[in-house]
Amino acid sequence: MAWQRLSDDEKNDLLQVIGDDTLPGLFDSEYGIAQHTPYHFYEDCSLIVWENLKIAPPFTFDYLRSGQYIVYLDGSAEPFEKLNSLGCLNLTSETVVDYLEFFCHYVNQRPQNILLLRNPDTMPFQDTVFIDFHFDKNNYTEKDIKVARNADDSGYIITAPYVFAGKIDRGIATISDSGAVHIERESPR
Amino acid sequence: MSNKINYLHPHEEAIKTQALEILMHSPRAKALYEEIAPSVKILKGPLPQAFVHASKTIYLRVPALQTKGRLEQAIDLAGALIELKINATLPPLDPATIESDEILVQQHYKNVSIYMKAFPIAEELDEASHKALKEIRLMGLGKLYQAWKTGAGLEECANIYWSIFDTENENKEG
Repeated sequence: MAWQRLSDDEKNDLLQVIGDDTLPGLFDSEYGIAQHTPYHFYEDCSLIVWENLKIAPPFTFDYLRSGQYIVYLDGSAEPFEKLNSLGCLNLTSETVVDYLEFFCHYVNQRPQNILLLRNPDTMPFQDTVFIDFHFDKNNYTEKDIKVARNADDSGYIITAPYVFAGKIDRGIATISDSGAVHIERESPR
Repeated sequence: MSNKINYLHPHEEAIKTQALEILMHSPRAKALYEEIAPSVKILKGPLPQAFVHASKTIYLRVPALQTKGRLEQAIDLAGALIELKINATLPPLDPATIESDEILVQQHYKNVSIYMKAFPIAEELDEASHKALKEIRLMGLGKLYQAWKTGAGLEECANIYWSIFDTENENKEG
């Protein structure tokens, strides 16, 4: 993923939109940087991150921007619904796994959070999960992620290992062509 | 670009009240809270995190789908109170050097100091039946807590803290 830093002018233009004067200290231009990166499942759209460097790791705010339209990723699916309704999403059997991983990262249903187990060895913050994770993760590889077109040809089904609130289990994600995601355990315990 | 963004959490009051209610079960945190008397704002965002500004402002970020204040928010709040206390003793950050390695290392050590001061609060919450030590582990701080508990100093804790973020070395070693 190639991050590109916004110039000072671009950063200040961005702050005009994302800044909030009622929240002092969060959007001070001289204490932060803005970066953006495209995602191949979105056309003419990029992820923009505002990083407040007064703490480390930075206090970040993440957005998706398409042209003049920008949505703040607030931990719910709503920003995705708004952006996807503009028609920027390009889901194919090649891009849908990346989209699902991205979606899971940004839609946080804490404490029942769900993550796609893409590459067990590079998942950050491995200490956050239960001890079983460290044993169970060795049973999976990226080859365990299976993508199929939905039977009614209206989206995708991804059968894969997922981390459900810190524990690995097999699950099924249904992803509509408009980007709506639903994940459930394959065999509920 | 013209759409204005609302960052405030839709359940701000409930989350704040519930997180404070939990935190007040720690005598240390209660004393800190009463001493600083901070302004606490709850923002929505994908991952929980705290941020402090000036001498009294605490921002807690909480996922938009969350409706209640949890132990995680109480612990974040404890860390933020400790950070406000530490910041009062430090010179303000200079924007010209904020991206330097020196400042990054300073921030790193400050974080570790905050955690080391937050652990006794977590233990008090745990003693008050809040399962705070399990939450510390879920927050990714289990190794750091164990090191602190067995007497590790700042330097050792700092190395452990750094390793939490470093998955590359883990792969190389593995």
